[in-house]
Amino acid sequence: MSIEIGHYALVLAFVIALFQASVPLWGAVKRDGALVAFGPQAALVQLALVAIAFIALTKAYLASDFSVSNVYENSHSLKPLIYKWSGVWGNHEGSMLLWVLILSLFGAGVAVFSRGLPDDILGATLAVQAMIAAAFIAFILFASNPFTRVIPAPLEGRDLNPILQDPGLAVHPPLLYLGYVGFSIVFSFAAGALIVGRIDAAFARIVRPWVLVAWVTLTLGIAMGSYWAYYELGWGGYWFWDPVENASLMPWLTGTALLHSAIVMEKREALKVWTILLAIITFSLSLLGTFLVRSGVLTSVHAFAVDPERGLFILMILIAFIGGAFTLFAMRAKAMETGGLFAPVSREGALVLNNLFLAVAALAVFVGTLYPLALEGVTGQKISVGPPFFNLTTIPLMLPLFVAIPFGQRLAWKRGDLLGVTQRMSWAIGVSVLALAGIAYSIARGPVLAIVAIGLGVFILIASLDDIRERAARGGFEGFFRRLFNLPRAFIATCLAHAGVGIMVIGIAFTAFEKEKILSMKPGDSTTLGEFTLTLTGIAPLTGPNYTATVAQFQVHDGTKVVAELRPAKRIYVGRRMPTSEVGRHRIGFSEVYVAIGETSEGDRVDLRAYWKPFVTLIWLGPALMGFAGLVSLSDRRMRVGAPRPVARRNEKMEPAE
Amino acid sequence: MTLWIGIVLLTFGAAALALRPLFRRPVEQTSLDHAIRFYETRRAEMRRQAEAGLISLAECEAFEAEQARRLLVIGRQSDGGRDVSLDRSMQRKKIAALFLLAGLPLFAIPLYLKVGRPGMPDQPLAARISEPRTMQLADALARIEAHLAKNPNDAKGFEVVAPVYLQSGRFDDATFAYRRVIALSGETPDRLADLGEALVAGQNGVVNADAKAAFRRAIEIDPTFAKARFYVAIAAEQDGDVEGAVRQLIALSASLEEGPGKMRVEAELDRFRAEGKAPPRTSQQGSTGQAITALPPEQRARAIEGMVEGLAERLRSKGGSFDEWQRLVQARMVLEQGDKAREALDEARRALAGNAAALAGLDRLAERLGLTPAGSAKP
Repeated sequence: MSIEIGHYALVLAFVIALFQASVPLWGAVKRDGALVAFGPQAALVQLALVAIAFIALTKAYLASDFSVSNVYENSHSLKPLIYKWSGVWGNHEGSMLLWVLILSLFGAGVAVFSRGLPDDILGATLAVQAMIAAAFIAFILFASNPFTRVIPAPLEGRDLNPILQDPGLAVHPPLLYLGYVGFSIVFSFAAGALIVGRIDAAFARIVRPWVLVAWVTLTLGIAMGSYWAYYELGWGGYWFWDPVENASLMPWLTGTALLHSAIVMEKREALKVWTILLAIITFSLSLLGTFLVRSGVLTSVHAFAVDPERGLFILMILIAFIGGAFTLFAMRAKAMETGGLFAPVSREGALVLNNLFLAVAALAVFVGTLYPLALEGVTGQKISVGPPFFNLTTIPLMLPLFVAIPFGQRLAWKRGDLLGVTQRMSWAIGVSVLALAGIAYSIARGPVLAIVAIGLGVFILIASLDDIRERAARGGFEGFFRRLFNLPRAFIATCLAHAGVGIMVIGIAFTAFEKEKILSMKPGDSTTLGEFTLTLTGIAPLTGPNYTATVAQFQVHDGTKVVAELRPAKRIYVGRRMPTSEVGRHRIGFSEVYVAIGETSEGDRVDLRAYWKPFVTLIWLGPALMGFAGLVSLSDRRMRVGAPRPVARRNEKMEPAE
Repeated sequence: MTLWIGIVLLTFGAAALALRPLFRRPVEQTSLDHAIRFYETRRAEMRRQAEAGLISLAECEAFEAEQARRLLVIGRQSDGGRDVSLDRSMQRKKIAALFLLAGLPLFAIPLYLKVGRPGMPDQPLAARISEPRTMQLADALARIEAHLAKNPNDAKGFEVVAPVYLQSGRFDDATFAYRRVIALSGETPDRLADLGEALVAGQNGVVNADAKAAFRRAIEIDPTFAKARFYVAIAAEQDGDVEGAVRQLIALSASLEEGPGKMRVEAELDRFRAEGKAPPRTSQQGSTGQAITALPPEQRARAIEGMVEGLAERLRSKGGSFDEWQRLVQARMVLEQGDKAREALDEARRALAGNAAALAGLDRLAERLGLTPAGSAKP
């Protein structure tokens, strides 16, 4: 019965969302607080109903109820418990339900945390959010229903796609969705503000925590996905410029731009039009990403639903929301006044530069991802835009941006002093030049660009963190620690996030120095890999819970002793008869030995790829630090919306001390 | 029914929760209030930073001046109050509430009926496994039948369903399916024997002419095919040729290796032996038997005793069929262990208690071997 209850709850959530999309809007127009107050309550009810639906589907997965078509298609009674959980969103229908769950979660979040918002903005925002929710619930109910039943119920399911049976998958999609969908609330705020016609610093302040939440989760989600691809797909790469990866990168780039422009808007009342535009564009790109993945327009690892009808449905949603928002934008753009003036060399100027580069990078990725599609649609000609295009377009864009990070961080508002800033960074610049020289000397030969990039990474890392010391040291050593602990968390977060960029740059630059071996070995064979010797000690079969595997055993020898035993494997999953590879890795500091095996031929030879990857983990530790920094910023007192009193009181207490 | 109770609860629960704020007294607040509060918060934050020495006092004052200018602009734009007339508001609330109360069920339930399956219960795998086996098979069977209706030339499909029919007692369907398999993929001894078996099962164990023909045909193809030879022997008995049947069974038994097949044939022979229509079991039968006869007499006796003890142990710990208990009792008698034979008989009675036919069989056995129950024999 729980399945049908869940199904009904989803239908009910749809109807509630329709009401939520209209009643508070009516209230906003009529300035009737009671009608607006319906919005937050409806948002909570909607969340509860969608949660019931989601729990019902999860229960069906846990109980292996194959009378539910979705469970039959994507589960297997032998599947380990964690993948029964993650299987809920490891498929098209279930992932759309998760999408809607997160959408309602954000709607409810606004309802709970933004009680102090002006009525009209709150009403309009929740109404727009409910429109998005209604559109996607309708999509689920009519085009991809996870509650469709099978009569009679089959005895066994067809199993989850084996490459998705991995702990990383349990985390990656929810995080990514939190990011994608998080920008929906930013979009709703923008649309709400446009409807109401009030776009000011208060708007930026309201929106910033939500931008941060979305940005943090999207950052972590992308990093997680990249890490998953690295160790599960067995190619040893961390980013493939796969269209679906690009689809998540585009909103990240514009979202990062938005994060920065919203600061200018809040502090200086400038860049209003641009910030609103970015809010709309970012969510549009999120929707576009969903469309690309779900429609099967692109062939990719992620395209598990190839169904033109679904694509059309999402395309309609896309057109309706993006079109509607831009129309609204065009209507109101003229009414938006420009804010405070600033000199080109200033914090604002630096942030504009940041926005410019990020936006152009997003455009480059956009063109590279969609141009082949458009060309095929118009001329029927199939072309493929690969990594060379993206590397050529984005790297030259990113390098100057990265160089500018520590400068921008130090520039004053309104009018900055570039020379002074450079002087203040002389220490950091010196250290990085030394590091650069040291690396160049110790590596002796290698790609110049990579060595320079490592130096750049070190520079960003040190210069960003040094800013904390510098600020605390301002005004002499006395009171250093008092000032250190009194630094706004948002400022510390800025430094940490930028340091994260530096760490990531170092990690990426070091990929130029990785060692790769592709060969065929039989037990007893050895091969050298950088400073290590890799010996194949045996090949053995293994039976897992729902797969059988061939495991190769390797010993990693560093010249004096055995440092690790690796057991990369090739698995065949029972349900789908599909092979996957399990990578064997050994971490030394931030570096890794990485071995993936392919086919075993003649019973005792195994094809393999072995890598020595120096500092590879930095590629994900950087974004992880960025995400953490986002959380630090979120904990800043300024972000706690609607709590002015305690701050004011503390202020009064402190005054006599002056 | 529980589903509908759930649906009603959910619908009105949702409606009641959503409607609650419509009947709360609204807090009067204007957009100007919000703006003032916002700028106050910011001013306080700036002050805090200036006091902590993070920004200069001049910066702080410049900022405050700018904030004041902004606030003035907002104040001029704002109309100060709201045009909420309480009557109109009440009217709007009523309309909204009415629409929601009526619209929720009127819209949601028909929509659900369109997309949902209200009559269908959950079917978790665990519950389905504990159901009678035929229920599960029926599910699978229905699917395959639907498939076969569309693809009547799918021999594989008929091969799958035929044994299922046979097990679930649908003998005519099983016969039909086996005939289809033979027609589509040709005769093999196995298929012919299966067909024969289905026919026999359909006739309550009587091997009729059709079945006999099928078995004969199987033997023509493979003269050593045991299953067919077995049924032909049974057919001979049913035709009144007991001697012939016994002869064929003994020959068949001798040709078989130890295993379930041989046990089945031996069980049939035991039936004849019990009626005295077959010669007693000789040690030449079976490969183990041959191995034992080849041993020197002393070791042979020990080997046989060992086997009997093993059988007794197994039956004691794991239980067994009537035939097995019977074999144990007989073996004890052959070994001239009358007491142990009686013991075995008692144990068999305990183990098979509740099986009336087996108990009657044990009584007959006791009578034939001259064994009275251990307890009652003493007086």
